[in-house]
Amino acid sequence: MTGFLLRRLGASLLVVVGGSILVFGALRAIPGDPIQLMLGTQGVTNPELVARYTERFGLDLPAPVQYLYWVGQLVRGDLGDSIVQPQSVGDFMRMRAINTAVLGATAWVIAVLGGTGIGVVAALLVHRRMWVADYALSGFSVVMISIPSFSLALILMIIFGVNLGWLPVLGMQSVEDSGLLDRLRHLVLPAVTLATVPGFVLGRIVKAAITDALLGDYARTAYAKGLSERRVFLVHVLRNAMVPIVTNTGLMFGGFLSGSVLVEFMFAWPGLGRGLVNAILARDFPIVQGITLLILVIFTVVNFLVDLSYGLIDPRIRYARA
Amino acid sequence: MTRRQLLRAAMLGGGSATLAAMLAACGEAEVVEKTVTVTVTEVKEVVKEVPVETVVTKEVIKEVPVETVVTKEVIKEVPVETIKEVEVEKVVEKEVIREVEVQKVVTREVERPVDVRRGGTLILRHTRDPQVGGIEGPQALAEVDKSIAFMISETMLKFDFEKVEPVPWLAEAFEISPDGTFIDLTIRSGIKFQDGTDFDADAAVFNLNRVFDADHPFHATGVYPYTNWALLSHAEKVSSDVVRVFSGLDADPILHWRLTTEATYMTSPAAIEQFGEDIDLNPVGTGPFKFDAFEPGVQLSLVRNEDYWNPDNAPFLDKVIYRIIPDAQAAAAEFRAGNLDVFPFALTPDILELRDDAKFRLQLFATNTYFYLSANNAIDPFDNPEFRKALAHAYDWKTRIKELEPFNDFLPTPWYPHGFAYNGDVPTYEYNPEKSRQILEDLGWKLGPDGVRVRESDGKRASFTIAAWLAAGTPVDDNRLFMQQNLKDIGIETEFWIMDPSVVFDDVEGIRNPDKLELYPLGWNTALPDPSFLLDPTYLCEERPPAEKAGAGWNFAQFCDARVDELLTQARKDMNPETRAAAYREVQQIIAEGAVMQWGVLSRFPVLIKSDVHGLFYRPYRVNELERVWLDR
Amino acid sequence: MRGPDPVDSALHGGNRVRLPGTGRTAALAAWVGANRWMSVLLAIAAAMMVFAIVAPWIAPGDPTEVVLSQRYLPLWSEGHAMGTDHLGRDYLSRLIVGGRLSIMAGLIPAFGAMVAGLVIGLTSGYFGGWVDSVLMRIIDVLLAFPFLLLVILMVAVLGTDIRNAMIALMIGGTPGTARTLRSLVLSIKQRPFVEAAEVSGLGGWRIIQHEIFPNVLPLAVALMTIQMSWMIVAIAGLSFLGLGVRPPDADWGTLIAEARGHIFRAPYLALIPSVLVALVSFVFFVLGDALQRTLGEERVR
Repeated sequence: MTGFLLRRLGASLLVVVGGSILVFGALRAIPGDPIQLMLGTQGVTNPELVARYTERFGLDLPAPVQYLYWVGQLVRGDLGDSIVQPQSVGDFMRMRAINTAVLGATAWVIAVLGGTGIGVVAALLVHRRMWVADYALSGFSVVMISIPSFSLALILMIIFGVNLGWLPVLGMQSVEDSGLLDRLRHLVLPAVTLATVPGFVLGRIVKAAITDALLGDYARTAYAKGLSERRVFLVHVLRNAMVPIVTNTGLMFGGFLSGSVLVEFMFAWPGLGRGLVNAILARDFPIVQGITLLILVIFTVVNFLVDLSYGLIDPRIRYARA
Repeated sequence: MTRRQLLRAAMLGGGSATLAAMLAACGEAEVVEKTVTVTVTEVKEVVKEVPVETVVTKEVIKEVPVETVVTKEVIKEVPVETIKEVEVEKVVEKEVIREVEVQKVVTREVERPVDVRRGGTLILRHTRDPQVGGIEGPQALAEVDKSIAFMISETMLKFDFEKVEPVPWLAEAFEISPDGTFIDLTIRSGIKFQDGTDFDADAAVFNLNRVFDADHPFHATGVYPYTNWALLSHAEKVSSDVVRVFSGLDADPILHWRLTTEATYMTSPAAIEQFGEDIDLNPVGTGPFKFDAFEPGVQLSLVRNEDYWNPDNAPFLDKVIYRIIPDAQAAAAEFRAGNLDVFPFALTPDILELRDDAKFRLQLFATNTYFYLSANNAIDPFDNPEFRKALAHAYDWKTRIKELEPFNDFLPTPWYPHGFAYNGDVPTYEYNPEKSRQILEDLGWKLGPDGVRVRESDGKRASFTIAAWLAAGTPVDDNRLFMQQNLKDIGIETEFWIMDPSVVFDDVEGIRNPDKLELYPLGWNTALPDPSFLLDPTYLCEERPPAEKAGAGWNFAQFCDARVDELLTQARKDMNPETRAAAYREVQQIIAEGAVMQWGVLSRFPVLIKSDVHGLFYRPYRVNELERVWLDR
Repeated sequence: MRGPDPVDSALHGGNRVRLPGTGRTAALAAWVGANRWMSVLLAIAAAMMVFAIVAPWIAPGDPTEVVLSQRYLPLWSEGHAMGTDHLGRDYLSRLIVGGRLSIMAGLIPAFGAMVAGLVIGLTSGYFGGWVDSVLMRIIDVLLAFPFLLLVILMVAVLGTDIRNAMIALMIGGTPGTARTLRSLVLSIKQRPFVEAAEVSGLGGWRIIQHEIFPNVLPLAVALMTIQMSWMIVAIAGLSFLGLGVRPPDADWGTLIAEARGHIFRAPYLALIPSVLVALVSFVFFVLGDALQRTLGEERVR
């Protein structure tokens, strides 16, 4: 077990280092100088200024040296200074990371609860042989999975924000009233948009898992033992259905991080995804490096935890690996 | 002519039969000079051009604040029907009815003056976090950052855009030496920075030399390229209250103008020493507002400076919040929902629809910005003035202004009407595609089978690139697409050459490449309305890229004319305003006659505000002034 | 990866999809009879591809002709069945020509990702060794980035235009396919018929060609079909962010982005392309899903 853990940890570390090198190299390969871009016409009129800033951000050094310098700073807990924003990368990311986490966590809760619910209902429909309802629900799920998030965001904004006026469509809070309720109201539409695709995907997976489990040996055995349907369902079937739910939760994180770019863009949510896209466009290297590093670490850690949790939920896997 | 177009454009753009262009202007009494906006003149002139009977409503509200007469707001409403020929009869009816109302309004104004309301919080839409340079006076780079910086910090002289000259501000008097090499400024006594330290001659010298002198210990914090332009050289303290500033030129007729520019904003030397590089987000000036707080990605706020030195300019508001909403659609929705008071750059159709709503009001501010189409005169076929004229006649600028940018105005010369020495009396090229086609035929460009012209002599296809750059969002905007259509109509095929913004100015590939550039639409913007700021860099021979001297090379048109060179270089140091103006007028004439600029559009700055916001002003370089703003709520 | 574990289905199902061959009409008819639902989906998907090819010839007008006197014409206007947009361009033509770009820009990278995934998966899975280790570490790194972020980063490196966006999508889609196919190859390698071939002295490439490739292809096609469905959405998203197709060209994503600025005036301009993107994505998703399910249907029974 310890050996497995160590090997897995080593692989994760390798992935993070590799990923950060990839990003670092890619940024240096992009045509376009961040200093020129930032200074615009002033940079053209003032080459000394460009030189000064290039030196200040160490961009005149060879790329491997820059990377080592960056890693050295990182070890001391410093992500460097943004080129474009008058802030350090750490300051830039702190607030945005919290905002994205709030949005992501809410969307995750909605997706897990909603997805599991839909999956269970759908499995029951199959179990009770209610085919028409089953087809309708499956069809609806697939439509919701196919719809682009920005289209969904537009539709939700038009309906709930503009026509009905029930919910605020943008930002994180109102200026005057920024109590908890106000913040929650702002959270609804972006979180629902973000949760839609992963939620319905999860719904399909849960349905498949439960349907499988209902046909599986343990369920048959349980029925044979004379247990009630409710008990069979809750104890045996749901437990078996947990595996895909947990596995998929890890994959969903990637979906949220990707999806948050468009959703944050649409709903003016001051989060990491939108900060990253803007930083890429402005060639703000330190910010891109900082945010991608954070994403890499989170993503890798989540995948690692998911791997571990297999064993906890499904005893067979634990035995197999021990 | 031009004013009527403005009016028509503004009205048609409204798309509403009831509410026409509302050009609100804030005037004032003798005490405060600043709140007279450039827009005032626009309104007055508009009325002249419209037949008297079509002016239906004239509402004059006079607000009298507690101590002095400060603000006057004039709202004039002109119905759209005046330009729709079909409904002439209706116009007459409405006109009669509404003229009665005019009487009432005027009477009420005389009898019951309204008090300016004090206090309250103004919320403006802001596009993004401050960038490098932050919000400290001389360092702030972009307009949006300057908007904040210039509320906190002030200059020795202040530019009066109505008089087109600087007026005393932190300096109570100034005098230029007769040879134009230096200026003496007398510091007003008793002014304090917001941190309590004195604003005196030493502080002024410290601030100015910080910008001019690259070896100044705090110079590195700034990004303003004054050191390179060498327009101002250095400052000296002459006596306890007099500061002398030396020009970097042999003679500078607009030396006093330069003491109003971005570079000369005053920050507390004590604060600069205390904060070092962090002064960019901790500005301390003498201005009417103080920096309050900044929450990245969310908002930035200012509060009233209770100890402000100038009672005539003291703000009415308690607090100003700039809400950071980068996305225009997002901001538009917030504005609709009533969470914003001021929406600058109200350019998207969705936000403009709101001007029909009584809760909102559209204000147009004059700007020192114009856009134009030009071609690279150094290459075939654009080196032929006749070919350039063919392009000029092909462009349907009336429709463009009417449909796409209802606030803007046609501009026949690369200079703007409210600037020094404007010459509106130059040849113009009306929209006439038939004439364009004729010119092209005469030049030997015959229509090919695929609708694209081919030159008979050598088989060259009339196929060119239009430069575009990757701004945020779409580089190919509606105007460029329309331009492409206009050229297609006369048999010229165009493709967009999309450049990354960081290589736009790169000689190898970008817009400064004299061999590659063909057609380019471009905009110029200056803070101050002196033609030397624009005509010199864009039309002098020595400015043709790639230029020898650092910081030059803006003459993308590759224009070179001995007479223009002579006029521009003399005017630059001519201390006589009359001969100077004459020289600039002649330059404009020569450029227009050669169709060097195929067409130009003068930009106006649309700002949508809640109708209970009064007294807002934007300087022509799109920087806000909020001291006179008050909220009627 | 969406849906149940495809490798598992492919292995345990063992019932691989027999794609109809040419000239075998009877077999085709029998297949269609046995797989009605899938036949319908295949027909729709085929029709979409045909549409993408012929789109420029069926567009009623010039999709880029700007007529400022005819802005915002409503639906069912004379001569403009879908009205006109904010520049007076014929919206039906824009939708048709935009659809071509959208569909093509989804299909090509998905196909590219399948080919690249097959090559990597087969090489890595069959030969193993250091080639496998190196390829898999690279794939680990690529998979550590969320899909859209990887694509955006790559578009930034390559430069913003439609071709680069497609290359980026292809690179973004490859690691997942390669990883999945590799595990399938690993399992197939253990099977008796492969071992038999090895014993009989066949070379590595021949075994891949004759024994492994035919068994991997159906899953690869199923994965590709599902990827088409995301890539059509992804390219629309890129265009929407201004990182994909750029004016004057327009795919559906660009149309949505353009219409977004006029949403209160003409909401249908944004809704129609949104629905179309969803619809096309839906068809490919259901088709890919059905293909994958067919691979594993034995197991469910």
